[in-house]
Amino acid sequence: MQTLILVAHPEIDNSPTQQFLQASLPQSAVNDDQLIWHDLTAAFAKNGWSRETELTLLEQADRIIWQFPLYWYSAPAILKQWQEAIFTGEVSQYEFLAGKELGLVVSLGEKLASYQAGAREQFTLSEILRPYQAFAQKLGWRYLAPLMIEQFSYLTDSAKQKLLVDYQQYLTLKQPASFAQRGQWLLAQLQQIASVDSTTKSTLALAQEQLADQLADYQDLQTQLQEIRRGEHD
Amino acid sequence: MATEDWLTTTLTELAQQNSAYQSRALLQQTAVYAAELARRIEQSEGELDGRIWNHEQW
Repeated sequence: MQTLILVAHPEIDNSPTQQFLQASLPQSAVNDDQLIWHDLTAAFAKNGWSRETELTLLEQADRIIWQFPLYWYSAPAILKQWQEAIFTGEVSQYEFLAGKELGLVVSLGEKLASYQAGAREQFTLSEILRPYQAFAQKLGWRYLAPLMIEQFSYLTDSAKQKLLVDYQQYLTLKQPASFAQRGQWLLAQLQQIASVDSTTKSTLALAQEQLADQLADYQDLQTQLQEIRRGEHD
Repeated sequence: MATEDWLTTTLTELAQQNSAYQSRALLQQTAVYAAELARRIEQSEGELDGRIWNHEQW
């Protein structure tokens, strides 16, 4: 699966959030072209928009991510410029892109809890981000539940570690993912970890084995429970 | 030490020993996941027992 990340930020180099996200990309997936980081501001500054290049990038991707900070309840202007420059004319011209997935990675200066009726922002993020969902709907793309990053600069170390894994999963894992699928994903990632010495290597191998066993137990239990629930009567 | 505790503790230790940020995050989050997995297994076993011994279904 190829994921194209369109980053819409006026100054990526000065954004700790975007720098963190860029450093979080799994290098093996970047090297295999399974993940493509596409900085819209830099692309535009270099040559202006090349509609053909952008459409080719979209066509090659299975999942498209729009990644941006929320400025005045919307993405920075560069994303709208890109959208209007690339998607000109009739919607039917873009039928060849139908079936893509659209995911949003949105960073917020406010707390997530502020976006609800009665709270500081009054409106939910589902309401605020509706134009992006409408765009996906119009083009026949599957809209994924957005990944929200709240107040990055206040995140603790462990919250940042969680964000790194959540972000990698958002880019590379089938969405929505079940608890068991997330476990299988973690198990697969552990294979990529390089160990410095043989003791660490064997401990890691043992941990992987244990995790695989426990995941299998969990999935067996879920299957048994489903069967019993199905057989029960009122 | 129970197997589940061993897994969580071991993954946490492996995380602390790893100097690469991505690997450390992955190991630490797998430890968090393993703890949640152990909890869910325990709850599912409890639910299974409860449903098997539910006399109203006999």
